[in-house]
Amino acid sequence: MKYSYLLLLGGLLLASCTSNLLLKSVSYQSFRNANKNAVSNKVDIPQDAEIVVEPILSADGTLNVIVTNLTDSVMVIDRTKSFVNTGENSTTFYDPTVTTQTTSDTKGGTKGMTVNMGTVADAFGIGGVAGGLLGAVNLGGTKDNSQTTVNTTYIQDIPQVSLAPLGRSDMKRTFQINGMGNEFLDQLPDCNQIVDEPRNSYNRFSICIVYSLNNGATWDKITSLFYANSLIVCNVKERGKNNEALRYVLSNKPDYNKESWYRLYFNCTTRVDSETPTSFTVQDLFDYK
Amino acid sequence: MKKISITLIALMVLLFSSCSTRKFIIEGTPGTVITKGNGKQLGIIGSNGQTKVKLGYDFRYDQGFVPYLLSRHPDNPKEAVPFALDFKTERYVLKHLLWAPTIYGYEVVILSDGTMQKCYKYTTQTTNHDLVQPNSNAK
Repeated sequence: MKYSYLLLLGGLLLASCTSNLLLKSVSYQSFRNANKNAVSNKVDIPQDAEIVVEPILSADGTLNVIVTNLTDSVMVIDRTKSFVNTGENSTTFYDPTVTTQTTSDTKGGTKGMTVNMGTVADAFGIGGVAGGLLGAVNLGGTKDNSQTTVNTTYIQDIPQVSLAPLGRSDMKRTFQINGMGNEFLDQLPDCNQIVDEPRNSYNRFSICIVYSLNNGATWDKITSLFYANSLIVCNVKERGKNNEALRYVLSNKPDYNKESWYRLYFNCTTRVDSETPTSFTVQDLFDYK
Repeated sequence: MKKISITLIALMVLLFSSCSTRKFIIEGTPGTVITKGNGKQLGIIGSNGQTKVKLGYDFRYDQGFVPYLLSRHPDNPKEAVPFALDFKTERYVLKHLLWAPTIYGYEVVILSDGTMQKCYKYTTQTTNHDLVQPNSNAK
């Protein structure tokens, strides 16, 4: 009997070492600003520039935009007229959808219940900022003195944002960009696409920011086009021959680390060392006016 | 029975202890600094064009798979170039169970098909500086 336990223990110990150790593929993507006259380093941005737009692309294929006011005036950005165009559709930064958040808090005894519901009349009349309402409508009564308070908060997007002189701010809306991110790369067969022109790219997006430096008296805009100029994927062909895949990527893109935005991604199918990120990304993509 | 039990326990201890850190060789230009992905230095390639680095591969502790390391060439120390780590596995049939743990540098697992397999061992690796343009600017 003891012998069986030992065998079982041994099997478990051995199984703890078992893993499907594989690096499945190595992938590389890079994006560029389509404006070839734009400087590549922020320190070279002309002194008379007013605005800098920076797309922030994440590993899950989302896009956020950061805007910097380079002037000594307050900059107002009209989010209802500022867009991201992903090729399929244009979407404003302003989201007209009103969302609600409801929380409840119960106080009192445990026998039966009396519920106080919050009224929400005229909630949609509140413009521009989030508003919260709390009311008291008695829906029923028992012998119990417990009370549930329901708080409903209506959240509405902001049509305009103001940037302080030399201020920097996130445009506070996330967009999904097709053709990038881990999920996209994980499914790709070997590929090697390197393009020089935006029109040949598999992935383009543009950002349009409408802004005013005189409190809305006049409006100006910056429109920037960014495009993926490379996509290289190499799947590991033979178990354990990992560097072959990476060398394929590097040999096809020897200047891989000179792009304004690039991401090198190791698609691992097993638990990875905590001191080794599975990707490294350089985010230095921007445009200015 | 007692002897069998002691033998099995000793065997398990050996197997367990074999799942620890392993040294392997990295080849490259002398003076090249080898780091992990987070920048932690593992070694510097010596005048013989080699360095030995130690990595753990043990899922029971905080040591997972290391898919790549970074190397910083002495002529351009600010630029870290990745190189992926190759590994190899070799199989043994079950009869080798009693001596497999004594082989330094290998780990042993039992596969579902009843055979045995050495755990993964990183192999000698060369850096990838030969592929990267040191002074290009594609922006």
